[in-house]
Amino acid sequence: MNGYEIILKNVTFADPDRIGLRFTYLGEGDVFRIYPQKPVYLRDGSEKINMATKWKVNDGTDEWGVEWQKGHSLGYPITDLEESFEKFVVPDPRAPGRFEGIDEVLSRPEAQGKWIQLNSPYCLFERLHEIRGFENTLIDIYTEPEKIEILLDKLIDFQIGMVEEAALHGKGRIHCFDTTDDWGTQQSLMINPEIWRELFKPRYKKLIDVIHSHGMYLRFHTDGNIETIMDDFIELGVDIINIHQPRLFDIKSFGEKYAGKICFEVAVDIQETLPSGDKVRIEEEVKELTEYWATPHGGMIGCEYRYLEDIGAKHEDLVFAFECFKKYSDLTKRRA
Amino acid sequence: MNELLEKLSVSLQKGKAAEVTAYAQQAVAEGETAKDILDAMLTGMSIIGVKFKNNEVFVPEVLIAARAMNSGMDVIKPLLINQGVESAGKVVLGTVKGDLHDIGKNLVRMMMVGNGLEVVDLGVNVPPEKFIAAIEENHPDIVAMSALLTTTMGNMKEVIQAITDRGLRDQVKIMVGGAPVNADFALSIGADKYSPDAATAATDARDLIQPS
Repeated sequence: MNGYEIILKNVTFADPDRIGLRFTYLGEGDVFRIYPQKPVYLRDGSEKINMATKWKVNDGTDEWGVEWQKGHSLGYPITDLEESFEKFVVPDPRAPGRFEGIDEVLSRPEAQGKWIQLNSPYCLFERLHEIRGFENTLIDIYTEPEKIEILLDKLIDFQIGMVEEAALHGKGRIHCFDTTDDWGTQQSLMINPEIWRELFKPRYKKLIDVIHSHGMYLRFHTDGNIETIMDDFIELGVDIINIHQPRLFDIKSFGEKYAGKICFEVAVDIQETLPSGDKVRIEEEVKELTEYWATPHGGMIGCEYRYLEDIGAKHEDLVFAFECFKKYSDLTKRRA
Repeated sequence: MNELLEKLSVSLQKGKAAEVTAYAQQAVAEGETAKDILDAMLTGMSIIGVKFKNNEVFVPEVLIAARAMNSGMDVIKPLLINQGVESAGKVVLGTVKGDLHDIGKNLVRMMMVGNGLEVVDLGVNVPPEKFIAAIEENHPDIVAMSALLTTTMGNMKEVIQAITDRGLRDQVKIMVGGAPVNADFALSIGADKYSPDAATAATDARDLIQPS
C-alpha cells in the first residue's frame, strides 16, 4: 500500500494496513502538501516559484490589504462598515500564477505514490478577523450580521475559486483541499454555536459540496476546544479534522463519541505533551490516541507540528513522536 | 437594587450600550449615587463573567457587555470623581517581550474593566523597562502579564526581576496567565497569582487588591 492508498483508506475507513503519517518536516510520511504561489500581478521578478513551499507575507501588506509584522497581522483593511467595507475587494483566486509549476512539483511525490494536498488556509473566520480585526469581527458577528454575511459570501467564493482552480490545474492529481479556521478557545467555542450554525455552517457546506463534486476530500484544521461543533463538522462532510491540542479533550471519551465518523489528523499535544519533552508522556499519548481515535478500519493520521521553536519543543521530541506513531500504527492486528 | 438600576444591569448584560447610557442618565437625574449606579453595572458584568466561565455566553457577549459598560461609565465618571468614589484598583497589563499575541490579554482587560478596575494596557511585545516605566507613572496595584508561547513565558521572570531590582516589588502584586502558563510556573518565577482564564483573572485581581 502506498501513501496515497494508506490515507485514502483511512479517510474512507476501508481497512488500511496502518494509520496515516504526515511528518513532512522530517521528510517522512504519506502526504505531500502543495501551496498556491504569489500571482503574477504581484511579482517583481525576484521570486522563486515553487509550489512545495508556502507563499505568505510575514512583513508588509498582503493582497488582502492586511499588514503583517513577524507573521502576525497588525493592520486590517476594513476599518469601518461603511466606506472601507464598500471599497473592500477580495483578490481573484483565478489570478494567473497561483498554480505555476504544478507539473514539476507533482512529478516526484506522484512517483512516490503520495497523497497530494493543497493548502489554502484562512477559510472564513480567520480571514474575516484578519481583514476586519479580531474584536471588531466578534462584535460585528453579533451586531451587524447582515454585513458579515456579505463578507462571508465573498470569502467563501474565494475559497470555492481556489478549489475550482485546483481542479482545473491539478486535473485530478490533487486529492485533498486543505483549509483552516481556528474556532476554539481553551474552554469553548469563540462564538455561540447557534450563531456559528447560522452564519458559518451553510458557507462551509457550499465549499465542501464543491470540493466533493471535484472528487477531492477536505482536510480542515481548527485549534482549540471545538467539541460543541464536532457533530456539525461530521454532518457537513469534513473528511479529515486536524487537531493539535488533543489534551483539550478527554481523549478516551472524545474517541468513543467520534472515532469512525471522521478521520482525525492529530499531533502530540503542542501545549502540554510535546513541549514537556517527556518521552514517557509522548509515547503514552500516542498510544492513547491510536487506541481511541483510530478504528480497526482506519480514521487516523498521526501528524507533526513544525513550529517547534514557538512551542518550546525540540526537534528530537518530534522525531520521537514520529517513532511512536509508527510503533502504534498497525491496524491489521486490530482487525484480526 | 431598585427597578431602574435592575434595568440598567440587565441592559448591560445584553450589551445594549444606548440603553445603558439612557438608564444611567435617568438614574443620575433621579438622584441615584454614582456608587450605586456603578455597583449595578458591576453586578451585570459579574453575571456575564460567571456565565462566561460556565460557557453560557461566549467571548463576543463579554466584549459587547464591556463596551456597554464603558458607555455607562462615560455618564458617571465625572460624578464618581465629584463624589469621591475610588476605582476598585489599577492594573498595568501587557503581553511580554517577544510575544505579539493579544487576544487573551485583551479579554483580560475587558473583564477587568468590567469588574470596575482601571487598566493601563501596554499592548504586546512589552519589554521589562516599559513595565517599570508604567509602574512609576501609574502606581498600579497589580502588574498582569500574558504570554502565549513557551519561548516567551520566561520573559515574565525577567519583568519580575526588573521590578525587584528597581525596588518596586513590594508596591505591586503580580499576576500571570496564558496558554502555557500554570500555577507551578507562576510560583517558580515569584508571581503572586496565576489565573487560568480572563473571567477568573478579573476576580483574582479584585481579591488581590481587597482580600475578602
